[in-house]
Amino acid sequence: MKKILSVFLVIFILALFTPTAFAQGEFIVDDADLLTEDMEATLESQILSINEAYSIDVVIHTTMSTDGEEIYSYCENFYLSNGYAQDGLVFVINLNNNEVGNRDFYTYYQGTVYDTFGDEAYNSDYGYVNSAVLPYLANEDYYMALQTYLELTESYLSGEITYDIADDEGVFVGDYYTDGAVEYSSEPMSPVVKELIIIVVALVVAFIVTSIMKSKMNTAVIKTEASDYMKNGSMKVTRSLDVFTHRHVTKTAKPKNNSSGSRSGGGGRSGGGGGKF
Amino acid sequence: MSSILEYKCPNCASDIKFDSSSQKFKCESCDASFTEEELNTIHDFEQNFGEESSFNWEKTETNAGEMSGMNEYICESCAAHLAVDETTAASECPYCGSPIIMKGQLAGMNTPDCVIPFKLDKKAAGEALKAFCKGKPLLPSNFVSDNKIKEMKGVYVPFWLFDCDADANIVYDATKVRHWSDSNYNYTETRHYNVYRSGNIGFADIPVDGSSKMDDAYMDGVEPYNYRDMTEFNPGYLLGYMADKYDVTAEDSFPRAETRVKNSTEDAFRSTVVGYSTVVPKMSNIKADKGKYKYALLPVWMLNSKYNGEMYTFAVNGQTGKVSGKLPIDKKKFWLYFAGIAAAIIAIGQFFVF
Ligand SMILES: [Zn+2]
Ligand SMILES: [Zn+2]
Repeated sequence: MKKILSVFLVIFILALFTPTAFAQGEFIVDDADLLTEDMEATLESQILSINEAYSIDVVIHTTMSTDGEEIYSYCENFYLSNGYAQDGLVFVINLNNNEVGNRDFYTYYQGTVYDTFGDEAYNSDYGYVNSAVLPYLANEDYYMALQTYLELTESYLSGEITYDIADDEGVFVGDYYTDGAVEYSSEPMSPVVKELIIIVVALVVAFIVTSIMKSKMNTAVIKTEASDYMKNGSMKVTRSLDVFTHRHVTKTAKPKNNSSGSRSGGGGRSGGGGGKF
Repeated sequence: MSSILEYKCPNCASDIKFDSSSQKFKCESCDASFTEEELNTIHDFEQNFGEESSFNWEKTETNAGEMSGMNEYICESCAAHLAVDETTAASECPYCGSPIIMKGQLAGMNTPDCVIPFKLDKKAAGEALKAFCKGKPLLPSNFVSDNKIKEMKGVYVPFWLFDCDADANIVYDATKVRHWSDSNYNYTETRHYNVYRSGNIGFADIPVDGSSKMDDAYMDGVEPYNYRDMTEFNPGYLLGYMADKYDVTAEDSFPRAETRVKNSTEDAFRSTVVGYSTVVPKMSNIKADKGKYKYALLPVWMLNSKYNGEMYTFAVNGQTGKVSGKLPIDKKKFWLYFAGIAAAIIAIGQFFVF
């Protein structure tokens, strides 16, 4: 009997120390300890007024690490496993053990929040929030970042900010991730297919190697330059000017990873977006 | 000289205005800004690009006369004209391997300004050729035999050698590329620059083959020659060798020399454009007013060898031993290697399937 009691005690103590146990119902979970108590109080009152006005749960969570989990699945799991409302969002700042440039921020949202913003609009609009918040994050002014985030989020919910395409040339254009729309194939490849791939690879490599061998057979190639005949030290630069003219940024979607853990709730009524800083 | 305010933005050709707070000229549409000096420099460059590159070549003065004491041979197959001294008999064309016929006393061939004498004898050239064939697994066995090496012919090939000091104005299109990513997207930023360079550069003795019989690609393949050994011409150097009578005039060789000067100049100045991901010459204007050229004979060992009814030609630099040529490919060996490599990879692949 004593033994069983001590086992229960251990389980109870362990439970106390897992984040799920104490995060229950809290709207600010500052595990990375970025906020003072005063700041938390101010932010909390901001959150409570939003939550009350729109009957949703707005949650802020900071963490030192996601323990290797992808940020979007970490966000979703955090929201779903801590008993928050069916309608709401969580904004996560992951310091990634203070690896500058590799720190994440991300929003997961579901239910009526998703219904309000939809998919496409949320993407672009969300880019607007992201680019407003990013400078503060980059300066490690987390309090201002969060205040700005909450203000803009409320402006969205109230319809004060409407669809407004973000500057496509910006360093941080919006990006987002949606659930449910993409089907992942995880069926293992059949041995026949693998065998065919190996044969194709083998033929290609053999072709490349023999082509190199072949190319070595001809050294009679016409020359179009004369660097062998440049007089040593005869080059003098008299004028030199480098002028920046323009720049452009392209973005391509990363291949989505299908091993990012269980995503259960939402059923297409959830989404998210974020970035690195 | 036009006033600076008439200049347009070098990026977008819009109007520019002086901005007193930054003390710079600002473009009204693309937001670029320039100092007065920068605008003047860019303007100057743009003026230059209105003009074509220009070269001016003059023959180096020598007291060249006509060659004498030599017989002229003509190849019936490729029409090569060859000068051979009267004491030597010649029977085979060094370029195509066909029989050659003596036409009589050589006439109408000027003595060259200078010559690089043969440094490698037939045996040494043969060794160079054998070394060239090593490590080429697709070559038919015994393709280069000692018997064939005996048939090598030493030829002095006529060359035009070009000297010049070039003034260059070049604009390069340069970019800096930066990558980063977030959890869902990869980003690529490309920053474009116009990079302006002016300066001068000298070239000495750029060779251009003056014989239409000698394939330019073969000749370029045996370059470079070391001009340290170049001396004034003396007929004694021709003993035992053939000399090709040039049939490509200096004037016809100018374009090739100019292309080589232009490309090399662009390459050389590119080495001063640093810190970029890519650098490509966009516009260049090259001037060489006092270019000089001379007529030289350079030594080459030639070998013609038949394989499967086709003639394969090799050229060996008679000074350095550098070889150029197209080697025949043994089809059987080719497919054996192909199959062998493919089979080996398929075998290794099995470890990864199961
Ligand atoms: Zn402009
Ligand atoms: Zn011939």
